Amino acid sequence: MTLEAQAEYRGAARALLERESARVWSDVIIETRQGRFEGVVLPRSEYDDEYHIVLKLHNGYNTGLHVDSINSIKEVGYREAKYQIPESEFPSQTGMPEVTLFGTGGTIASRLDYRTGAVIPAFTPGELYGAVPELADICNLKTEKLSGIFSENLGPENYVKTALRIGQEIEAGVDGIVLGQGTDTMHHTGAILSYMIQNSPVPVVIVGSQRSSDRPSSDAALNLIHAVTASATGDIAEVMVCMFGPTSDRYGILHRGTRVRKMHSSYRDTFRTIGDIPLATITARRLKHLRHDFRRRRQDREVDINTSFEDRVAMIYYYPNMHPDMVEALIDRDYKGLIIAGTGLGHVNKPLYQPLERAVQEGMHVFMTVQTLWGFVQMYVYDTGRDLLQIGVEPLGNMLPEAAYMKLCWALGQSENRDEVTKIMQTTVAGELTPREPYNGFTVLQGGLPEVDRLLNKVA
Amino acid sequence: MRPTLSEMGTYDRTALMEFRTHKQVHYQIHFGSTCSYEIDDTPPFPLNLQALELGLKGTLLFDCSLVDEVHISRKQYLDGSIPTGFQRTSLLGIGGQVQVTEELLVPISHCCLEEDACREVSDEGHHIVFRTDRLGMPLLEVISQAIPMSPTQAQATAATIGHQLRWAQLVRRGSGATRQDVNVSITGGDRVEIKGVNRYQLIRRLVSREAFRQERLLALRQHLLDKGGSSQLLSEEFVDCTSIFGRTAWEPIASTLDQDHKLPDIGSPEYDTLETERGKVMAVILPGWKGLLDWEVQPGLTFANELAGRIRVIACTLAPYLLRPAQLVSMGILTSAEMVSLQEQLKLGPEDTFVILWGSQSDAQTAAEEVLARCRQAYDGIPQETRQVLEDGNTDFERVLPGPDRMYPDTDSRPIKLSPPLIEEYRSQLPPPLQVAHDQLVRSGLPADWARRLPLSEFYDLYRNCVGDGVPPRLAAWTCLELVPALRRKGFKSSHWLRAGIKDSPLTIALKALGSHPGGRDLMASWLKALYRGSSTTEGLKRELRAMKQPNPQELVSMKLQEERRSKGSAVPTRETRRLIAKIMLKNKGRVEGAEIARLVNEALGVEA
Repeated sequence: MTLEAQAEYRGAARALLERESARVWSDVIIETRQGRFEGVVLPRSEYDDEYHIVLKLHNGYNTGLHVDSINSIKEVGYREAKYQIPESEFPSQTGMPEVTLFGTGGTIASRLDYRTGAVIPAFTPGELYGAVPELADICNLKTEKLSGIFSENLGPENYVKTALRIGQEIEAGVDGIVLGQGTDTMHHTGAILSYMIQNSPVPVVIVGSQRSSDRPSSDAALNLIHAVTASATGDIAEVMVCMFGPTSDRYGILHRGTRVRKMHSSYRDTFRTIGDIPLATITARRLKHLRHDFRRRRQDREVDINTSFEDRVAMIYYYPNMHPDMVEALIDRDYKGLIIAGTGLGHVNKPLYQPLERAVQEGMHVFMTVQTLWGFVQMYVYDTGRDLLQIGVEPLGNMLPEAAYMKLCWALGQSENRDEVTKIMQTTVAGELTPREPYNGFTVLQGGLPEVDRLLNKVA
Repeated sequence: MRPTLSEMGTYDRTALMEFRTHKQVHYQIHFGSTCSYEIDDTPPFPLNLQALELGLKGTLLFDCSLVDEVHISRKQYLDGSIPTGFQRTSLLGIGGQVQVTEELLVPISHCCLEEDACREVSDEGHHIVFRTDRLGMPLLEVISQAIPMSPTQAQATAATIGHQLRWAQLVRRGSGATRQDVNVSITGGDRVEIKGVNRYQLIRRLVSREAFRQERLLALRQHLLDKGGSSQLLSEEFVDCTSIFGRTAWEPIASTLDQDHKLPDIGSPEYDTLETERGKVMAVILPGWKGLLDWEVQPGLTFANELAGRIRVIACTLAPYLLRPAQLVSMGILTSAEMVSLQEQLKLGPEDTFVILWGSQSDAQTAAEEVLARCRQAYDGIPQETRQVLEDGNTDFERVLPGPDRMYPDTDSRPIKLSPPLIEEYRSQLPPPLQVAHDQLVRSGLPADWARRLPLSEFYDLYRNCVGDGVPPRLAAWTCLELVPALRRKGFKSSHWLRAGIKDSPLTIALKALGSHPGGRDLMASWLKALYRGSSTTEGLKRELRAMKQPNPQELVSMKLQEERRSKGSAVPTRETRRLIAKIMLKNKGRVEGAEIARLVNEALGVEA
């Protein structure tokens, strides 16, 4: 880190450090116009200006000193920080379930990055054991880093690689898979892996954290414990997302990969099962089923991996006043598939009929979902819906827009035949389409009502 | 909450201690004062610039050198008092000073702007309850340098710092608005922090007692070493004596053994298995400690209380936390026969003693480990601790004293550059030193006590406004410092015009209307009462004042004396002067000065005042 860090001082600050023969991590006495400051020179973020030296004083506080106010810097020692979680080898015990943890990055495991001043992903089994020793009581853990990126940067090649590696691990005999990734696109990953990994004999649990693990209140450790428990000993052999239940540290929820969605930008209980109920709740000690129609764990090693993926697929979120050229542009740029998140029961305005008709005629596969997220597409109720059906826009029931998007990518990777694609899209693979919505599948409670506030006091 | 690494890659000892406690933290949240930031569900907002301005002014007030760039750090707290597990704090300046008395100049080592934490509502066993209404309030921390000083000087320092900030109108007033963390160490001792002292008037006593405590602990250390003891002699093997206590009826132990204990970190039975533990009674043998558990460390408190504090906080068992051998039979906890078999089981030497602990298996184990750790520390001297104030002025263990290892940069916030012209502007807005105002008030004829209190009063601006308009200083000061507090004590509380800061408040109007009217004090009192009761208005007062004829005091006195002579047929005896004065004042209250009447009556009757 030293070399990389020293390079971060630029211009005047760098010149001053060089002139005074001080370095990043030097223990120094700085005489300034205001007085004397003693501490360790810290690296500086590249986003900050070049006129300040950052000093960690001996009382632990950081401060910035302007180069113009500095009279002299005297190096009296050198203290390089080693920001590393104490690492020790993850213990292995015979008879414990074997779990493989794949990492892609994200806040589940992260550390300070002086270059940007933000946090960057970090991840080794030893580090994880140092940070969350409880994991050793649950399973024998093996980790493998697939990538080190934030979830918004994940794409088809990551999905394919992940699915293939998971397939190989399952065939090699592991008892469960955990996949750590950033939370922003976790529901996209949940959906695509649900299609790519079918008929798995063991759980595949995707996990992340809403608070980076450099914060004491991070949910990373608990989510990881929950996910590893679900994966090592749980009996639900599906692709799931495992994140906080309520905002308190009470339990986690296992969501079906195709029905889950991140619903808040920062709450820790941001993930919700939409239009259905979750599979189970989970603590370090107990998985409690909420439903029984799930695929069970098996002893065999058979798993169907299908990593087909067509990336010329788009999704548009319809709004009033959407111009036809939005769709025209997609046709002209050779997009092969289009998911529309329509209003209400699945509608768009009349000016879009003509380009949509052209799209279908030119071989684009167009499907309708609802931007209300909850509820089914129902295109027979109003004329608009009937017109769209007539044009060839196919309804996708209560499939969530993101799950539909990923499914169309996956379907078009397998076929371009109109009937075949429609059949793949409209046949449920992993719960992305459900025949009915349960009475308790829609619960966006209205805060402020006395009865809701009473309930919140119990469940938060 | 889990400990995280500091920026320098180390763990903080307090964080590690707090992680051991397995507390369930409960938060009380209220719609009016809490948003999703307080419950740690929203990333932090940018630093409040008004708070920064006030903080910088406070820092300048103590002659500190400001930093050029403010960096926001996180200070780790795992006790639950801050839901994020860290307090955001920034260093604003270093190297200042405060003149406490003519002889005492106290250096200020640094000033920080911080977010306040939750207030604790209750802490019992494994449950701690916090209220979030104070959370996130800007807090200016002024840290004085450790220098040798007497308890009285320490108290004066705290008072001066508080008064200066109040004088500069930079801080909220009211109880708890300024709090002190009092750090004490004596020669040979070590730093102990007494946290959150709400009233600076307590400091003298707290410092004296902490000095006493350190002296006693050092004496205990000497005693232990003189007897040839060593912390190595204390064994980590604890004795399970649950069976001997199996038949006791003593409630704390009986109920502990009676019930199954939920594991401390279990979330909720609805979602978790109901794994439980049995209760246990454990003994920790302390070789060479006979009689030392009763070693006095604070007035009325012994070394056993030091142990109890640690157990209460870290093992989270319930009061009274531990038992000494002498208590077992005398309190009827064990029969003599049971006591004998306990002693046999423990195989004590003549100089040994032991403590009895109870709780769920894991809590009893933690308690035993804490007893051992604290007794071992006794051989070293004073453990660095943060202590809380008890009602009687003694202190109790709160946590291990944290160090710089709990600091971490706040990665959500950018540094803030301070512009030199803005700083100069802030500097120019600071009031003159408090002493200057004080001297000015004395020169205007106020008694020293009033001159000291008035600048810190919420009515100081009102006072200056009135005096500027010709109201006699003594009348204005008396109204602000004596009359209004007296009315408030009598229950005239809700009336908004008794508060400061209201422009053209009835208080100001009444003071200005009275001006130098004789009998101003009496009139002020009766007017304010009338206004309060609604039996008059400010307009009514003004009319009343205009209509009022001012009698000549001299005439009043001579008329009254003639009247008395007529009715009694003789001269008025001197012993009746008080009655006479009262009679005159009864009729003319508010129109003449009582002191003037008294003087004239005394003069007329030839009485020495």
